[in-house]
Amino acid sequence: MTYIAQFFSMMLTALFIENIIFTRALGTSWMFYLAKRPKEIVRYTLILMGVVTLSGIIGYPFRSLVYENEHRHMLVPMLYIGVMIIVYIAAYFFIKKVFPGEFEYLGTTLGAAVFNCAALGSLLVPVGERLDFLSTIGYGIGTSLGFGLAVAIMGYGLSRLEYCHVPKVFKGIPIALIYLGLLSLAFYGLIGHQLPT
Amino acid sequence: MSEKAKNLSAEVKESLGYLFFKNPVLVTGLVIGQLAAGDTTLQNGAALSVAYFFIVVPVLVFASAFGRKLPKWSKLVCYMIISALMLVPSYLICEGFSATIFDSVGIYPALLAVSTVPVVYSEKFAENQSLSKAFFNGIFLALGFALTALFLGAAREFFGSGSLWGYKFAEASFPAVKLPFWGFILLGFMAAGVNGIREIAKKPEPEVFKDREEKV
Repeated sequence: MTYIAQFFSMMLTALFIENIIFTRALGTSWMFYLAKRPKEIVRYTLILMGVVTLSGIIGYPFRSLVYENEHRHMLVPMLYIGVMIIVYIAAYFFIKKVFPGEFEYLGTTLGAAVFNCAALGSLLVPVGERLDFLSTIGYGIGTSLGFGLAVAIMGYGLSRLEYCHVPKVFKGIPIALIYLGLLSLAFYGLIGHQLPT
Repeated sequence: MSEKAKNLSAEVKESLGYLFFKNPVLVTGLVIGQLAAGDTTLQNGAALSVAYFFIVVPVLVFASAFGRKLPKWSKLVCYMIISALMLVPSYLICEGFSATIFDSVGIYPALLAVSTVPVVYSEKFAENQSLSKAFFNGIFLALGFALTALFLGAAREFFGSGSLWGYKFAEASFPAVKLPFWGFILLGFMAAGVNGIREIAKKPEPEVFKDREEKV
């Protein structure tokens, strides 16, 4: 029971308190890309969840080997990029063999869905915080759901911004970043943080 | 001037745009997260810039030289292996700035290895470019990133703790400026500044900006 509680507590932490976009600012480039493509959000979130969960499971036994090393800051990311490469190759050939009809589309987006800051960040944070196996998996799943939630919120907000009178120099990236900053501030306050003094 | 020298000069001139009017962060909207969350001091900005330089240039040059010859599934694998290996020299150089730089900048330099340029740009653009063009693009993409990273890091360190490169010279400080939401807001204003300067200079919107407009 304790393990289940631990799993869900870590998942909710990653989903709301440590939301990957609003509090850790990871995967923002992809968020901007997906925000205008609501139909792809679910598909991308599921791929992200699969990659993070699989890489978390494969990488877990090896991380203690590199974490104690004095060069862990470069060895841990290298380990997880290696694991992501294995997951990418396996997923590529699996999709090609099992879903040949979908391969044309999935084959081209798979690389960007596997190798991105959201996925690598979700794998590196639990290492730094020394989370156990179940918490690592829970964190990965929560992070992926948090990414989907953040993209959906941003997509809705950006679509509303199209109807607002935005000064010309703020159109595009500037207003999107300022809006993201304000949402991030709202999340920061919503979860009970106080600004440093 | 020979034809080759003219071509090289044109390539450099075209790549120069990545410094400002086609800046990868402020105009194209790439690598925002690493700067918003990790670039809180001038030293962090320098560490991120060094890491980005060491990752982007070799990956783009490799993509240009060998990308079209590799089987489709292995291209990205090769680019990611190069990115991951390039973390070694960049980390060793950054440790020269400060022994504790990675306690401050955290996981963000490592995330540059899987950022949009090595993952997407290399496959979509660099593979179809000449070696020299990919090289100059890499150099100026990295310099454009560095310009933004150093400016943002310096501003946040100055206002956040009243210091620059660790040397404190003002008591008044505003620590909240180091939080990610301020990073987003400052980058938003910097991006608006670039748009404003483009308007004043009457420069045309780059194609890359128009592509991005469709996405944002």
